[in-house]
Amino acid sequence: MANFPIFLKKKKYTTICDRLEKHFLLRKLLQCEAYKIKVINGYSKEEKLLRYVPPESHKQVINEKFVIRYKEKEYPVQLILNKSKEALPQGKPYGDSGILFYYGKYSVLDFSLGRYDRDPSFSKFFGEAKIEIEKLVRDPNEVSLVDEKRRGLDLTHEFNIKLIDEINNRLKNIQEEEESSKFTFDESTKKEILKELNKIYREIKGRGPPPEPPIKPDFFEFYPVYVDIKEYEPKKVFLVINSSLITNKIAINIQSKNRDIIVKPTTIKLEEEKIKEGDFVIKQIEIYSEEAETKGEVSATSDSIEHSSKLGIRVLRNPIFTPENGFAFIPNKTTMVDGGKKKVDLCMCKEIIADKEIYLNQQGPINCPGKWILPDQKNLNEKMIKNILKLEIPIEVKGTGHIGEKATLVATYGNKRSTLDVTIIPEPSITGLFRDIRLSPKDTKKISGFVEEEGVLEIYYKHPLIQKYMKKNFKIKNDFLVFIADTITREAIRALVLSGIKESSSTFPIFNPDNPELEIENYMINEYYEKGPKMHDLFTKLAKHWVEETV
Amino acid sequence: MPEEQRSEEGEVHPSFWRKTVNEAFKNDPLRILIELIKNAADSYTRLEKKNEIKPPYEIVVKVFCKKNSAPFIEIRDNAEGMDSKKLKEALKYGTQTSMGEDTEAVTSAEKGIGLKDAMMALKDNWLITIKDGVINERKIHEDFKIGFGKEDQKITEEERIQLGIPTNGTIIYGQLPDFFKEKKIHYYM
Repeated sequence: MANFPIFLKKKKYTTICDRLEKHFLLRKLLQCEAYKIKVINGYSKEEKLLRYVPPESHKQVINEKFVIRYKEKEYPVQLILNKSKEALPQGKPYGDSGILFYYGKYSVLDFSLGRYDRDPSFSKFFGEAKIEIEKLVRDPNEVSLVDEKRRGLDLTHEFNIKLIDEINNRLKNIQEEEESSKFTFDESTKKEILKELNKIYREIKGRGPPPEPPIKPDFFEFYPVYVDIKEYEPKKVFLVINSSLITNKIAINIQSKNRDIIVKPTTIKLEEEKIKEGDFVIKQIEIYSEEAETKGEVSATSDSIEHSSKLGIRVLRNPIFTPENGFAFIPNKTTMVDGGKKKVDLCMCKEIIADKEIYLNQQGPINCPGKWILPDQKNLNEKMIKNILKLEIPIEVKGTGHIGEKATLVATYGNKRSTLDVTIIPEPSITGLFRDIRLSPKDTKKISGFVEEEGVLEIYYKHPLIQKYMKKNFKIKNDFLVFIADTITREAIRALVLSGIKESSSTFPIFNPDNPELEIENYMINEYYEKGPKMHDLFTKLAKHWVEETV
Repeated sequence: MPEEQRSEEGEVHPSFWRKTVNEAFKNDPLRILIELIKNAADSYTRLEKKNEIKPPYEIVVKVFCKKNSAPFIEIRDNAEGMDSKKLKEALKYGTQTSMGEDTEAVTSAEKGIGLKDAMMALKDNWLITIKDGVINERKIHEDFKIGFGKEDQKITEEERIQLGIPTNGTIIYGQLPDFFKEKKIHYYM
């Protein structure tokens, strides 16, 4: 008795029942309604009808029939693969995750996931492969499909090699699909880091030429020369100045001929030493008015030069002061970036204000407050402009993945009601050398790589060195964070130097174009010491936001 | 060429028997039970394919568990049963009698696992089978010898009631082996 398994030393009857129900060899038989397998405790007479209930399927991943050609005959295989919500115990003989290979009604040959057997990334997958091999089984000259030691399918048998190959190919496709979405970085952290990274690149590469001015005047001119503004809303125009006229300290005076139109600044002073020859200087001029339906003119003159430029202005009514029915969203249509937040204007006339609360209700993929409390009487007057109270209501998109979807926000105040239509749009793409950072399941000798055509920094998390760190709570472990941060930093610096050289940046001149490797190496080392620490901080922050997706 | 004067039956050492059982059932005593359950199911399936039986097909497993000893098991079906000729073939090593659930098969995809291996693995094993009103009882010893109980005897109603087999069927019982390596079992747990 000394060597008898522990599980049969304690609670033998229940253990035997439990294990028989879970054993892969009995699964199909226990699923056949016709067969009633009853286990009776010989002493207590307790009875149990054995049953096998497969795990709950969250979704069916494969339901496909294919054939295996073997010795000029075709043997059909029906493969069904499901995915559960939770990870399942893996492997023979009691695991749930795996593919049950069987023929007939219940004759089980093996329970395995081919080359992905016991692979944790497949722990949610389970299914069965029904093989129509009765003819093969009947053939007296045929070698057994099950291996000599009865471990399962004999993997040296030609039929099984073909079968497992077919299964592996299908599982490989699933793995690629699954793993590409298995790990990600937190989106907002990633975007913030990409912006910083591109800023670093611009700094290293050196500033490019200033933007081309929209016009190239001989002296100075407003651009545009005529503008419509809305009452109570400032607007900016430009004054483009040709630097060739700057001999010494020159002042340009900006003046509004209509007192109801205010202009800022009223004087622009330019210093010769700060201007490069041939450059155009572009200055912003702000125009503001509180008087609708007025017109005016702003002029720019200089005491040094006999030249003036004029800007025509018309002040339009601002629609916020004429809300429909005295209570309305203005405008009543808007767009929102997928996953983004914004404030929308809800305007109401003073004369309709009575209750304290506005009720808000949303439909579609946005969130908003349930109600909005109006300011008390004292503050209310302070916030009024021309007897209109403008409220800024915050709304946000419910997560991401809603591009193209519509939403509606309805505000109700007493018997007044206003509707805002919202359309979700994609975020403008990040421009610059680095446009994305992603975790990739690719099998590669590199730990990290830069896909130049796409501007993507990739981290290959299946690399053994990364896997070494990816143990329990790895995201908070310093050695993991430092390793990841340093790996990406080195790859980013490499990409940055190579791109700078390609763009003929003056920061990275190559004096020996036939053998540039040494110079490139030196630039990388220099930049690693120069910008490495800052990048380390950025990528450590990114590594902390390594997100493992659940289903 | 010498002339043979007499012959003696070959002896098999118990360690060889243990090794055979270990390999056949992967150090898992439950595989013995599973094998016997599947044999019973196959027998029902063969009858079903000949349209000689209708479901439900009942297989009763009785487990007798005592403290500090390996459980005794008993598996009973009311399927085909065996006559003495078929029984002899079924218990003889080197023959292929396992037909699985396919009546036309001459070899099994799971070749090798069968009644004789399962019987051999059970200590104090006995097989009682009734076919067409005739009862046969056999056992397999550790040295592969076959022991005989009743041989082609007519079964009485009293015996039928006692065995729980109203027509044809088979009962196998014995004690699960206690020499499987615990370590390997843990691997599967």
